[in-house]
Amino acid sequence: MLALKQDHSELVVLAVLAEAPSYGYAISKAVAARSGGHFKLGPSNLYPLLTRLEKQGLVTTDWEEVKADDADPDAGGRKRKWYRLSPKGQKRLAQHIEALRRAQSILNAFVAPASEATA
Amino acid sequence: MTRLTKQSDAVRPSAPDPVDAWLDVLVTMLAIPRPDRQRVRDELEDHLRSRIDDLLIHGLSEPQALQKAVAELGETADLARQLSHAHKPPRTRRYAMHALLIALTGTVVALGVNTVRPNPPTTGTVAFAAAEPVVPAKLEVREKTIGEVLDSYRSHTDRPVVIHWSALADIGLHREEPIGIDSGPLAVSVVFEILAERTRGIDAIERFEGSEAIEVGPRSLFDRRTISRRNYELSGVKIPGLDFEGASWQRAETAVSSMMYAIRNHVSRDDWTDHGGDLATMSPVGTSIVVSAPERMHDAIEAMLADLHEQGLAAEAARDQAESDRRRAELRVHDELIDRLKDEYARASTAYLEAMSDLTRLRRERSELTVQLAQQAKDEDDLGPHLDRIDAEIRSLELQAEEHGARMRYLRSRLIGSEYEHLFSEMPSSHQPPVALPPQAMRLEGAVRRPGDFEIPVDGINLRRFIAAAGGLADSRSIQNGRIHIQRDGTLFATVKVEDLSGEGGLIELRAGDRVVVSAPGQN
Repeated sequence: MLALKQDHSELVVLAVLAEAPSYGYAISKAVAARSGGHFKLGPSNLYPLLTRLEKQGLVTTDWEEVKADDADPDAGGRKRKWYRLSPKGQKRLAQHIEALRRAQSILNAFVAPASEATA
Repeated sequence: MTRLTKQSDAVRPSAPDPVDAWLDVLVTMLAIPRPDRQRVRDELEDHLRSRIDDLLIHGLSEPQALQKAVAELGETADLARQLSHAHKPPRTRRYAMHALLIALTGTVVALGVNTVRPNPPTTGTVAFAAAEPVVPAKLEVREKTIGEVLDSYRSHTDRPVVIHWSALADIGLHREEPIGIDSGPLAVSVVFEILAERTRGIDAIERFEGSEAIEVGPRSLFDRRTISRRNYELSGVKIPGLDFEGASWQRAETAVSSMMYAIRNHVSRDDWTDHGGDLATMSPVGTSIVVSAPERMHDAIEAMLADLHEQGLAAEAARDQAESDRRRAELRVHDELIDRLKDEYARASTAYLEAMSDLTRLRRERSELTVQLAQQAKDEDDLGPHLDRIDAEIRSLELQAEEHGARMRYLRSRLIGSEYEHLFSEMPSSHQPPVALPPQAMRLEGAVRRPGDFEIPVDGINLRRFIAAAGGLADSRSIQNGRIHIQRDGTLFATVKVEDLSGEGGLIELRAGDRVVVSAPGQN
């Protein structure tokens, strides 16, 4: 299993949030699911990262009160923090994708001839 | 009220919930403000409970699910540190990476030597200004990535440049990311300012003039390297309203702590441990403060103290000027008073002497008449009225002489009291009548404050005036066996015995600022 590099994890989280607003645990599940289990974004990386994204204004947050299905309806639920991509976050994501494409195209210039040569 | 109790009972059952217990421990380890702690706790609680629910669905037992969910969070202390970290500008940097960078620097320096340009722009110090050419270097920014722009900076300085990419990525500056400035070439400093502005609130990108190379990275990276301890002595610092030297210990202490308060609030506020930071600490030691902080904070503290000191000096100079103007005006008035008193005294003494000489003449006349009368007893009736007339005249003259004499004595005492009075600034006893002086030893002290040098001729009268002024005495008899000590620049400059002077006369030389101490064994 690959651990995400920090600048990749930012891209990955922003990409997950670009689809729909989400919350911490769901984000970590989405990352694992979409990478076919190759990428793992553990809580010790995810939550500090989300905090930084929030501080930079790349995401906005909301709190929701959730209750377990079998919980006492009178009891207070626990709180869930939702993250939503901000316009600034969308821009940052676009920059990441652009940068990644460029890096890929540069790398391709080296990779392609070599693979042809071996072929 | 009952509702509240009921609710809290529902949230926290009497048996401690293991998730709550774990969160309680974690929260105590978070070095972040209290409201943030609660939010972190809420979020992690949601995570843990969601995860446990998932694991239960997958068939794990409750204890197993709990154990696994908590284990996935990693080392509690480590998680707490990472979370605290994210809530502040990233400060506690990994020392391992640090060591690696230092090792790398050597290699980069070796490479960098090849890129040294032929003309060093200026001679002299290796200050940053000298490293930049006289015409500010411009960097191309249009359609460039941050990496391209910062790399192009290398060719604009004479020194090797090390760019800490991974640390920069931590503060949101990624190498591959477009710099996003649509502009023509920009000066290096402008580019750095724009980037610093972009990272404001998290950290700031900085150029650090290292001994081996110019390094580009987050400020926090360099802060740790330049932490040093310095002592700021405040006793010589003049700040209006703050008394560091302190008439009293409490006043000095108050001054020092208000200075500390000001420093903490105006110099990199969030970096002080007292404000939840982890870079700088400060403690008072007597009239100084000991500060452990990065170089840039020391610079800011020094600048702040220097500014305040300068303002303080200006205020003090203005106060001194006002005081000396006031004193000059006072002295002028006083000089006029002395002149008038001297004049009046001269006239009064002339009048007294005239009256006395008239009196002497009349008394002689009278005694001659009395002798004549004794010789020629029969003429008594003829001379009697004449004698009566002289007696009346004598009585009137005696009254006049007495009056002039009283006036003369009054004027003399006024003169004695005021002639040297303004020579001295401190005369603790000057408002007390002589009788109130201690019967035993006494010591009177005054500082010469009148500008200029003085030579005071000391004969009987001047000595009395001098002592009266220095000691606030109208009568010098009470210090007959005393001494006059003159201190100049803190050392004893001269001692004059009063008894020596009273007879022969002499000279006391004084200069503004001298201290005059009159001491006497007292009367028994």
